[in-house]
Amino acid sequence: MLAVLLLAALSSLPVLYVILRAQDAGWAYSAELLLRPRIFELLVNTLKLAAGATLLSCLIGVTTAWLVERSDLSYRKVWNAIVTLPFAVPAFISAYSWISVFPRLEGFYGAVLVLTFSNFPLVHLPVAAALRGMDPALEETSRSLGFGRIATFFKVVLPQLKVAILGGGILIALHMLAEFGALSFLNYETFTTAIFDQYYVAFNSAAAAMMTLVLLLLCMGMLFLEFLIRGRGYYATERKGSPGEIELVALGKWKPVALLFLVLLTIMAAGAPLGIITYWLLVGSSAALDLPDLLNTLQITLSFGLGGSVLAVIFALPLVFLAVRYQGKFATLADRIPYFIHSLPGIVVGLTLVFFAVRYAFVLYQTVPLLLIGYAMLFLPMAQSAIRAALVQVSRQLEEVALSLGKNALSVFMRITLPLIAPGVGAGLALVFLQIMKELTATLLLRPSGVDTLATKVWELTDNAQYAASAPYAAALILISGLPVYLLTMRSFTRSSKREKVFDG
Amino acid sequence: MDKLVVNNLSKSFAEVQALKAVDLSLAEGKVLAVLGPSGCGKTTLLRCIAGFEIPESGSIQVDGATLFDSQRFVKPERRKIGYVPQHGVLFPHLTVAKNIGFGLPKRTMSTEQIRHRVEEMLELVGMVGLASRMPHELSGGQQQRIALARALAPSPALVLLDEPFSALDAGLRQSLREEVKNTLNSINATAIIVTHDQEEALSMADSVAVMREGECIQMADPVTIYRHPADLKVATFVGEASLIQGRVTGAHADTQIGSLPLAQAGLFRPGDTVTVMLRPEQFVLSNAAQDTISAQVLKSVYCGHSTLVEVQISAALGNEKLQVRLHGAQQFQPGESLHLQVQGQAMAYAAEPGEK
Ligand SMILES: Nc1ncnc2c1ncn2[C@@H]1O[C@H](COP(=O)(O)OP(=O)(O)OP(=O)(O)O)[C@@H](O)[C@H]1O
Ligand SMILES: [Mg+2]
Repeated sequence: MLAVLLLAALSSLPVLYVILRAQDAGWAYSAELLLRPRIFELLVNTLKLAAGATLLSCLIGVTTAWLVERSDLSYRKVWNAIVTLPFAVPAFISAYSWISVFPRLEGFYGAVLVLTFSNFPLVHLPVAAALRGMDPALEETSRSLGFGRIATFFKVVLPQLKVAILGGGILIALHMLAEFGALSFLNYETFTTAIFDQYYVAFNSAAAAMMTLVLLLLCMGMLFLEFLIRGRGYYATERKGSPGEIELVALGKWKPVALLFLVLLTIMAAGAPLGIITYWLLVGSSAALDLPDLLNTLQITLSFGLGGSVLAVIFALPLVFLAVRYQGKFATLADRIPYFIHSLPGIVVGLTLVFFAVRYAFVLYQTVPLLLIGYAMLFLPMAQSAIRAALVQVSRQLEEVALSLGKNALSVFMRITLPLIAPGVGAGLALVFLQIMKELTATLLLRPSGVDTLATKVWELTDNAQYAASAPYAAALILISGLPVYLLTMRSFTRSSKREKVFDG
Repeated sequence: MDKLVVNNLSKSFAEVQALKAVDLSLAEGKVLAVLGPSGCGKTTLLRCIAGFEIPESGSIQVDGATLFDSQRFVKPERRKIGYVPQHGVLFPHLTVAKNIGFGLPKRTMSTEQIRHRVEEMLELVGMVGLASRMPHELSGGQQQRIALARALAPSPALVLLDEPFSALDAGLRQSLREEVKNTLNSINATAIIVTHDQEEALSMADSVAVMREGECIQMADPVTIYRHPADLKVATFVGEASLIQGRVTGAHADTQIGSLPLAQAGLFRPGDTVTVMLRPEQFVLSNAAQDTISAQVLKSVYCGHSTLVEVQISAALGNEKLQVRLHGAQQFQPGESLHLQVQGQAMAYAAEPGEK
């Protein structure tokens, strides 16, 4: 109960923040701020970027997923891992690495390209999973009814992928709304970067708040879209133990083209940023490397990551239990609110917390606890969905059996439930940890002054074009956030191994 | 002419040989049941015929046209063979009507014609009025019927059904079985039904093929399969059997329960030791004390329409245990004495040492 109320309170904070700010500035002035041509210009920019990057990501993601799951390419498992590598490079690092070498990449096209490269795995992963989980009997039935492989793909396979594609696409669109670091390097203005400028540079909180309002509305629009899609029948097909080996399509003369595509994609999405950072690392070794500072920053980042992810999991556990084990209004609420919070850009959460801390709890302003709360708020939904996936697998009967054997509820939880959902909790921790490593926007706003994480350090140094000096921090960031990515994606890939065969023709 | 001819078909997966030189033929308009224990290769056989597996050797012909041999492989979408997979999966994103209409050619049929055909099929499977439902709004049995309608809609040359009733409860199974049989008959469809339920095979099919470990052991009409199984394993697989040792004397076999007339003539030489197989329902109760087998009830299993009784024949006749199926109207208590008579002919098989 308490947890849900807290959650509801947290999620209403941003709205409250906008209202209070508007009131401070006077309603008329606020409305004026809101209706400027400038807002319209930002709106166009933001939507253009979201649409461009999302579409391109969907195209690339579906193609790679199909190649990895359904073609007869060799080393498909390896390719699957390689294709998800861009996850390990935070978008702002990849943006700065490109800019440091090709300053002309600025603007719309550069932004779409760079952000697509770092976000398309969000489409690739769910689509690959959907392809893997599809009952082969569906495709076989379509073939037996007279449709060739291509017609079957469009009539049967693609419609089943719709949910995965749209789900990934909406996630990417939300990321586009929230992206700050990469866009500020690429010099492309959206609401998020403009809000930051207003707040940090122009110190115009009222204007920032009004832009936040529009951003909030955009996010809610996305959510509504997602809700619509989910509402219209979410049909997960399962393999029901049909003697199903999925038929692999022989690429034939297209194989070199497919390989070239994957190689180019890898070079652009992961190779180039990593290569450039390595280059700066080598060049930079002449500039004195401040090893103690690097270690110190690393330690701070890790402890923030650990603290934030543990906090998020602690929050998530009761919420998930409520949602899975009990029915009712509260349970549904506990289930839904996180989706809303999840769509909040870091800058909104950051500004909101700063606002309330300054006003009502100044002791918290620029402290670690506030920062951790910000992290927990931002990434709670990730922890929740990971734990949820594990908990729904634990049969209620199992707990009931334990209770009937005379154990009390707490010991049942500790001895039965917790061990069984431990993998989910672990996945939740890892996911949140990974996100915190890469988090930049909220950290910039909420961190105690003078305390740097790897991400903020990179941002500050590169903002002054100190590329070489920033390289060690960037490399460290990639190394510690790249590892969890790798583990998580490999885990999802090896979970369902399957029998396969190749057909010609 | 035979609709379907399968010749010498073999298929193996890594270390399992799923099909070993299978031969089958099926006349137009007939229903063949493929019967066999789990893992014997039934699904594999269907998938080879439908074109989803490529056999190593052999040939498949439908209507005289070769679909597969060492030179040819016709793609599944060109075979015009209806296929209902083991779990009858429907396309989850399409309504019932769209599922049924999926395989109808848009090029040659107008929307009106398609609609009409879908309506016709819904009627055929007794599901009128459900056209606009989504698959997840149907019960398991309804889904099976729609999957069948979908396969039949384009009037395929041949329909393959892989355990179409496996997911259903006994009652629904029975009624759906009837419906499917009627549906197939009414359009004179040639069909293969895979099952591991002997009752289903015997009741639905014009002929039954019994498979074991990838081999087709026997193919015949249901009566022959039941009365004259090719070997002891088939005998015990397609129903209960009472087995007893005997010695051949001409057209009879001498056993502890008397001299039994044999169904096969001339297979054995007089004096051969054989295992004699009788179906439990070949035993009937008798009042007379003469020419009967006296036995004691060991246990009885009540099956409703009949009672399956295990009896031990009297010590004078050798203490053998037998399965006997008696009319269900009467109850039997352990220890009770019975007098039994044998009706009809027995099957004899070469006795294998240790075989019971
Ligand atoms: N793709 C495959 N790869 C390897 N082995 C396979 C494959 N498909 C089937 N088999 C094996 O071939 C044998 C026959 O399988 P099949 O699916 O034809 O059996 P079935 O008679 O349909 O059984 P059930 O009644 O359980 O459905 C089994 O031993 C099975 O393990
Ligand atoms: Mg099978």
